[in-house]
Amino acid sequence: MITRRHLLETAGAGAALAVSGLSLPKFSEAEAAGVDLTPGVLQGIASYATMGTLPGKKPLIQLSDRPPNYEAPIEYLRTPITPNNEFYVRYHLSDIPEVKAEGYKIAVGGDGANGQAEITLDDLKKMPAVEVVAVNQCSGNRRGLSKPHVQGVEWGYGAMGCARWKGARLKDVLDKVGLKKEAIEIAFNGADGPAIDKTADFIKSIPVWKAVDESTIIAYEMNGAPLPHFNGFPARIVVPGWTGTYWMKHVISITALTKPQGGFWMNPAYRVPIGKFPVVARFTSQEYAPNTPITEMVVNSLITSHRDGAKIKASTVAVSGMAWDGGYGIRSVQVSTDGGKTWTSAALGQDLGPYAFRPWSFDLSAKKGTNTVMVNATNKIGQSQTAELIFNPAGYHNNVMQSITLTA
Amino acid sequence: MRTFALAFVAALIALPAAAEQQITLKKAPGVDKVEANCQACHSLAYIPMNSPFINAAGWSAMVTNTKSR
Repeated sequence: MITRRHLLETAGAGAALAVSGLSLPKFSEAEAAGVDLTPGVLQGIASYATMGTLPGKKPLIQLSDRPPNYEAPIEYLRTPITPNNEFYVRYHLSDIPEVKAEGYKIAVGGDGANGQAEITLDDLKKMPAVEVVAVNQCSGNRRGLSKPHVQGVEWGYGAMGCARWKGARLKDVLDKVGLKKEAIEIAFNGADGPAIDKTADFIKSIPVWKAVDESTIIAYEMNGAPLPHFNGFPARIVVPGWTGTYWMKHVISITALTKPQGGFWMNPAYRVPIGKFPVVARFTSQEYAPNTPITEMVVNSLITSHRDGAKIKASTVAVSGMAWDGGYGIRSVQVSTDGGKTWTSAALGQDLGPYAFRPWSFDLSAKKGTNTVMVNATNKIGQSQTAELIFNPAGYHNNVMQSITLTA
Repeated sequence: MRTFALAFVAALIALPAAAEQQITLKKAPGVDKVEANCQACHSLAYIPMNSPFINAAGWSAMVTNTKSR
């Protein structure tokens, strides 16, 4: 851990946040010293934030320790699969039990189900296994960049990651109890809870159509290993294409409902103004004007090879990063070096499926002085990133095209 | 999940947090109330995180909001 004093001492050297003990294959010590907060996030965070190391994790940017909210520095997002020990951590409530595999079970039932069942970890593992590579992105990723600023956890770019999730289909688990035709939503509860009983428990639901999608799973493996505690051990819901709020960690109940799920975390939390964003997936049983639940992620990209303001050589420089969307897949990534007047296609890397990070790379012919690099991803249904922020009160869906300056 | 007693829950406390934050608030009237009440449920980090842009009315609304969840 570095101290705040150390933080202040190094700030003058251009490193607002230094990292000790960071070891990444393609990440030199010199680069490590430059790890800092996302440019543009609030000064309030810089006044206290340091890198923090949770058990089983590499240092992450510690926005709050209780509940734990830690984001990844962009250097952790240079590969299409984010390693488990570099994956961001987000909780709403601070009472987080360490759930043991032994004795763990999920209660399945509800008024929208024909019966009830208890599913153990072994039961899950005996069911047909499905693997899906999918981005998990916090709804509020980039909230700290909203202008005007909005309340909440002031995330920069790193409240996201992409993993290979393995588990049983949620549909197969629901088939064990049978859904009534009146069932409209499937609700999830996790083992975590509030510090005091008065606070609303974190319960989330998704529409039945999404719950029975072939790709929606109850995951017990992440990148070939058991889920890390801080990412939901022993099992979590994986809702590919949709923002992280629905991916219930430490899931202990799955409830079929004939009426909309209530509670703070469904309404007023996690909502966007109706019609303001170009999203296809709707959650109509929860749609109450003027807003609607956040659903799928909007198409987006991030430069991960360089930070804004980085020094480069006046030569050919590979600028690269990741692109992703709500599950339609990335068609192209366009790069502009003249402020958006002309655009060139970046080379796309390995395709790990429509829900995954899609790597891209662009050879910049860097000239002496200032070079700007602007990026815009387009998905396979023709949606592109926005040039100007689409403001909303919770700071969601920030997919403003990134533009960075590189100096040679 | 709050009101349950399940054998698989080893302890109702978080894993040892290797990185406890030290947040020092400005010494001003009411700071004792903030320290006594707000951090019962969450880290004081949320205060400097949001304070650059929230005024007194905004804080009043936020405290009402967090208490009513």
